[in-house]
Amino acid sequence: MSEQQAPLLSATGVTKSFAGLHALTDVDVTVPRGHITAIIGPNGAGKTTLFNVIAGSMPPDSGRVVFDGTDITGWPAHRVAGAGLARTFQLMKPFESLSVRDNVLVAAFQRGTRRDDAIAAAEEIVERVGLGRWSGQLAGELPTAGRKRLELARALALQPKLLLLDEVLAGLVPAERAPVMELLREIRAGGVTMLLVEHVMAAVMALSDEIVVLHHGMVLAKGTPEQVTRDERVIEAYLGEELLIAES
Amino acid sequence: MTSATQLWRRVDRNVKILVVVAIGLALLPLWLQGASLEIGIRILLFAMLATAWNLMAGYAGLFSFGHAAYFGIGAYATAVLQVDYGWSPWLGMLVGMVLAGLFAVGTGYLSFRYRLKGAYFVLTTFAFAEMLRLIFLHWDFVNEAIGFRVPLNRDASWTDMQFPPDSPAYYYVVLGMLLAVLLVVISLMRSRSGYYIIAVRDNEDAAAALGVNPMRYKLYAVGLSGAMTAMGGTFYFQYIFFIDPSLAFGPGVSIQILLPAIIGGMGTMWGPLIGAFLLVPLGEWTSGLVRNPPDVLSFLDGRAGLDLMIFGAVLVAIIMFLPKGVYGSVTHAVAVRQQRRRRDPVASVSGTSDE
Repeated sequence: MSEQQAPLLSATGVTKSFAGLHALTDVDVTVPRGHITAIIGPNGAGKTTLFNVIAGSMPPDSGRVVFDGTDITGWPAHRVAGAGLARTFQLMKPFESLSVRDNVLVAAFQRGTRRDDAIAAAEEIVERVGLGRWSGQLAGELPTAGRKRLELARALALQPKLLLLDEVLAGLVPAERAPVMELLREIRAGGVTMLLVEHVMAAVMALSDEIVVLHHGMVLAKGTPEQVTRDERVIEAYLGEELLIAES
Repeated sequence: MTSATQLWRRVDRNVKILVVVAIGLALLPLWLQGASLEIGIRILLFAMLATAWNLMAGYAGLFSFGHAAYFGIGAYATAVLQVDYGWSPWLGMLVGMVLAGLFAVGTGYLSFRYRLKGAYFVLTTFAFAEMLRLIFLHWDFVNEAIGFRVPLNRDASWTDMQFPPDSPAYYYVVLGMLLAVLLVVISLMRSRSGYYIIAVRDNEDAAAALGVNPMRYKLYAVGLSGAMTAMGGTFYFQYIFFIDPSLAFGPGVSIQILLPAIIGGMGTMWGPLIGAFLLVPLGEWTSGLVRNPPDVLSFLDGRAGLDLMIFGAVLVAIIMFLPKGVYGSVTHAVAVRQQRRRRDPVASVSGTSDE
């Protein structure tokens, strides 16, 4: 039972610097099972670096990352993914010479299923994220919104326990955000835990159970959306400006 | 009957093409004799080598300028085992394939481990081939610069991979090798590993994020490409009866291996084969033109090297006008046309496309 209550992901004391520049200092983040946790903060606060450390793209200088009871600190990216932690990239990275469906198929193959089953699974996910009409088109020809969805589709095809989403809403016009947010709610309803980095505050407020605020590579505040938005330090460092933009 | 047609319908399109190609090429010796049979053999040999090269350079995106290394290992493994130990060249071929595969994986691992990319990777492949050429040139175990000759055998048969001159058997041996290589590449690229190899080529980080180990699939492509190239080395030694360090490992070998794939279309299944069918006869034609020029071109008579200049000029023209290669340009044009026809007049995924 205690296994169920333990957080799905916990990063403790994560520190990372680049050529003497502190990108992350002693950062603690825990993601409870079934929750959506959001990381917010100004540009350069270290959000993507934290993602990269968790997902295995770069090892931390110190600190530990424990996922589903296993210490995955310093594991290479492909092993982390194999353990059930899928990520999307802020700067989309489609396999440009493969069709949209085959992009997702690469991920669907990870389940070790037969080719026909993997193709069926990939097609189902392509439909689900609303890319059905582009299924046979080369991924390199998709516009931004389509590429964002493709990132999501590939990550979903891994059937992950934890989904790391790096700004899936950024770059979308408001009309395009609503269906993606709806999709994220559906995904959570399906039992997938999520950790997101997001700039679109309206979405963060609507989606997340818990928010972690990063500032200068340190955790400035944590709590429910209500707690965080009332926090003086957060407003001063980040939110004041963002909320104004969101409201305008 | 019906089950047979049902089965045929399920077969991959490239396998169907392969069956047709196999039948067509198998019938060709009925019309080819003497010099033209020789040209046919060289076409198939370079088609096979270029197809093997294409797996590494085209599909895996790892441009090799040193496939002579694998070719030479295949030729020399056969030569040493056949001449010094009396083994059948078929067994020597298998040993050569294993050794070349291991060499490819070993040198590939070093290059990928130290993250050599682009021009640096290309230079490394070239350097490894040159390294082998220089080692073999000064190594008494492989007779230094003299190399090896195939021991002539009057009662030679299929087990010796040796046939009377002018026998179409050489043609069928190399045809078998070509078909085997094509079948391996077709099945691989249709399988899960094939998708992984392309995913790693297109974007290594994204592939890793989907659980694909980039190192493993690069080495897979490199090792298989190396082993299949070694097969060509074995055949070459048996066919021309002779091997020395520059015939086996020289830079010219690497260039001859990669040209058909580039001219035909890198990263396409049939490009290397089509490239070989264009290049080998083109080379013959230009050298024939210089040797026996028609009256209008009588000034060409006996000017050695001119044939290579004409050959080069034609290559430059093909690369300028068909940068994706002959077959690659055709398939690209067809794909673009289909795309246009399919594209909805209605809006795309979004109104914004800031990229």
